[in-house]
Amino acid sequence: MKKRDRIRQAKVVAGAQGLTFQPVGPFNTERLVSALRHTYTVQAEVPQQFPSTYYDTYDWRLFNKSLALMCTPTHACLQSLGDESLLVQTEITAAPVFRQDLPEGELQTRLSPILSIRALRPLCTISTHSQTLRILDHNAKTVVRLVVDQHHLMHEDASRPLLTRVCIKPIRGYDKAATKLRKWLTHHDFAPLPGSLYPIALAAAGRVPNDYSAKLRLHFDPQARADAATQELLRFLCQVMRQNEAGIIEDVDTECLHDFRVAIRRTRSALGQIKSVFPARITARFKRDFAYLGSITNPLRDLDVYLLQQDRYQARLPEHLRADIEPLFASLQRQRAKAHTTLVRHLRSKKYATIMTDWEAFLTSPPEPDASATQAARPILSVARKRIRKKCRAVVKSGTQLSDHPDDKSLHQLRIECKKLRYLLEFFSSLFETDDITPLIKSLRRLQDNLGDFHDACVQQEALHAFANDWLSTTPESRRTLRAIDSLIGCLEGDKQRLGEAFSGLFSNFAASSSKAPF
Amino acid sequence: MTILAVFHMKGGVGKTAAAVNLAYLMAQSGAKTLICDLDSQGSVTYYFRIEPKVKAGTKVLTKGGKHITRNIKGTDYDHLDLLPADLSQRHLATQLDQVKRSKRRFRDILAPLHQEYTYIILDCPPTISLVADNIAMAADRLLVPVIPTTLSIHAYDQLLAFFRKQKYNQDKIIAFFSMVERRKIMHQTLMQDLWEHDPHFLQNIIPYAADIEKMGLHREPVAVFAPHSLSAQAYRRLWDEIQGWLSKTASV
Repeated sequence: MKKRDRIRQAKVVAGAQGLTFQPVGPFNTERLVSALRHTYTVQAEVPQQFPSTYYDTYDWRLFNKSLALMCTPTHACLQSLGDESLLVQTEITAAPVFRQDLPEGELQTRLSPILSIRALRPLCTISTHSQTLRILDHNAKTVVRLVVDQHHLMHEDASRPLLTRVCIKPIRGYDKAATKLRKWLTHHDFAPLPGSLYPIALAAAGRVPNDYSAKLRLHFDPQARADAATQELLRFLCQVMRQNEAGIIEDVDTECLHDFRVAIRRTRSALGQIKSVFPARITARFKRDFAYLGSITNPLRDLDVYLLQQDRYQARLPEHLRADIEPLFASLQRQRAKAHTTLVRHLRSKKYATIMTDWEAFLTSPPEPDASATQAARPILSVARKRIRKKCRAVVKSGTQLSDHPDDKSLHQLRIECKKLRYLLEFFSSLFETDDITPLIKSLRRLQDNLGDFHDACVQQEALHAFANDWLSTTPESRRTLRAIDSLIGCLEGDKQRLGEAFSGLFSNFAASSSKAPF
Repeated sequence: MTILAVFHMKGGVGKTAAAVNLAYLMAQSGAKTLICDLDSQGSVTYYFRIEPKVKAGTKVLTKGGKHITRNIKGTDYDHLDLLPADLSQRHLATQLDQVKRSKRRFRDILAPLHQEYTYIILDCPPTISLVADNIAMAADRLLVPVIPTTLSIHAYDQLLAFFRKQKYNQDKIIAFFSMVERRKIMHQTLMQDLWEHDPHFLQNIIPYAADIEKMGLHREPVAVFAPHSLSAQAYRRLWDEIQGWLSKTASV
């Protein structure tokens, strides 16, 4: 494309700055031009046609920050969601998927923290027929521009009319002309149309913002039956799993599997912690099934985590070792590809289909009375309080044990109790006052982060030892790789030291919060 | 922000054509550019099809501030704005004489524009008055078109002498040959001579061309109505060379 056209296109897509109007009734550019010519001298520029696509992550991160990202074949434009004003624009050569695909500059800097490791996906594509009309004065000077945009929605290989807009683009120093044109439009069947194209396009494409969110935002009626409330919770988690299946199979980004696994973990925790609300045999069966589902996702997730660490690992190594660690990651990539294929096979298997169908059937059927489901009819508020209270005590007990006997077994025990408590708090926080529950959640989270980081460091060290053992050190290059691996193990040991020192303070904080909480 | 003044004490040397075509090229690269028509004849303003009138007359250039910003007009071209000429500018020297810091006045009033514009290009009147002092002090560079004829070169020498006398920095001067007719042996000889002895001269030249004369008919920069012509190419090469000089000798 010629540079002139590229710049023109950039100007046109720069958003509806200035004044935007919509025709009331049927519209035709020729009619508009001839109507304008009764009053003005009009020069019509060559029209352009170009596609533009809106992008966001699967979990609507940009939308939730009131941003819209729109890409044409040549430009990426970040707009404000409300009024379509252009915030940042940059030239691109291909549609961006990950934050590292964006060219270096303001756009990448701005979007990096929001996108993190999630992929951008196309949401809707609009084809725009854009024509600029210049209004000229007696010197044939352009005093104001009117851009006529006819938008079509490209949906499933077909094109549907979406919206026609005309936008006044004032020229500096010629304010009267812009004002006069605005009045003209108002008197010629044009109505002001503030706001942006994006929500209209989304609605027409059948996309609902935040139709996917992994965040638990359930609000229970405190007096609802415990079994019905728990079914509602589990239905939400089941939906999250279902919504991530395609993303895992198509390998969109690593967060799809992560969200899937978190939903499984929460499901297992709910089945294990919200005791005696369902018949025992049902709970036992599905506990087994979800343990299985959790296990089939482990290999791929482990490899994803290592590969996500690659940049961090390299940054921590002394410079002369950085290139040497790469063969390790190349090997991990290969293993990862295999693990992905295996998981896809599992997800497409009859076993998986049966588990999920049976589970969905159970969750949508009215609860059946059973002798073993002793808590089923109790109000969810009392059940929740009891479970949380018990779990707080268990965490305090485990933590005290760890301080006395700082070994792997005690650490493991404490981490497990913390996780169980955390899930319970996340499930039921809506039942309690924020002031009561927030300090508890915060101190628990900090404690968990400390324990989690320590655990991660141990696991990584073990894995690196294993890699080192398997690594054939027959060549000078591979010997250098071994030295690099050793260096990394050393760094991790330092981390563990620091985390160990921070632990007791964080634990005391938690113990204090839990004694103040109203459970 | 870089302020470039296209200046020559003689008229008819291709000053205005250079100012218009260079301003267009600056803006085309995406840099926000303001071209100021300081010549009361208003040729630049005419080329851009804008009315040669500003509110508050010479106050625009003696007081600046909102008098400038209110009068800036957008041209038909992206990133390019114009501060139009006004007939009252013929009294400019007298007006400047009555203000404080009379030699630095332009520099002072243009300074606040640095947030908005990457380049400001001044089309200067052919003069050696207080206006010339102001231009010499305000501009980061003076672009001086010189026709390779004895009289034009003589005027160029007078400019150098003026700079020496007023102790202005001669490194600000970038000269280039304008309205060159290669068939003329005198043009060739004089150019060679100056290229050998004077480091201020650019290698690229602007030829005498019918297209450049036709700018007045089209009322557009040459790059718009004759983008592939020799003159359009010449201005592009000239601008590339000027950019090279600007980046090499950062602040003068």
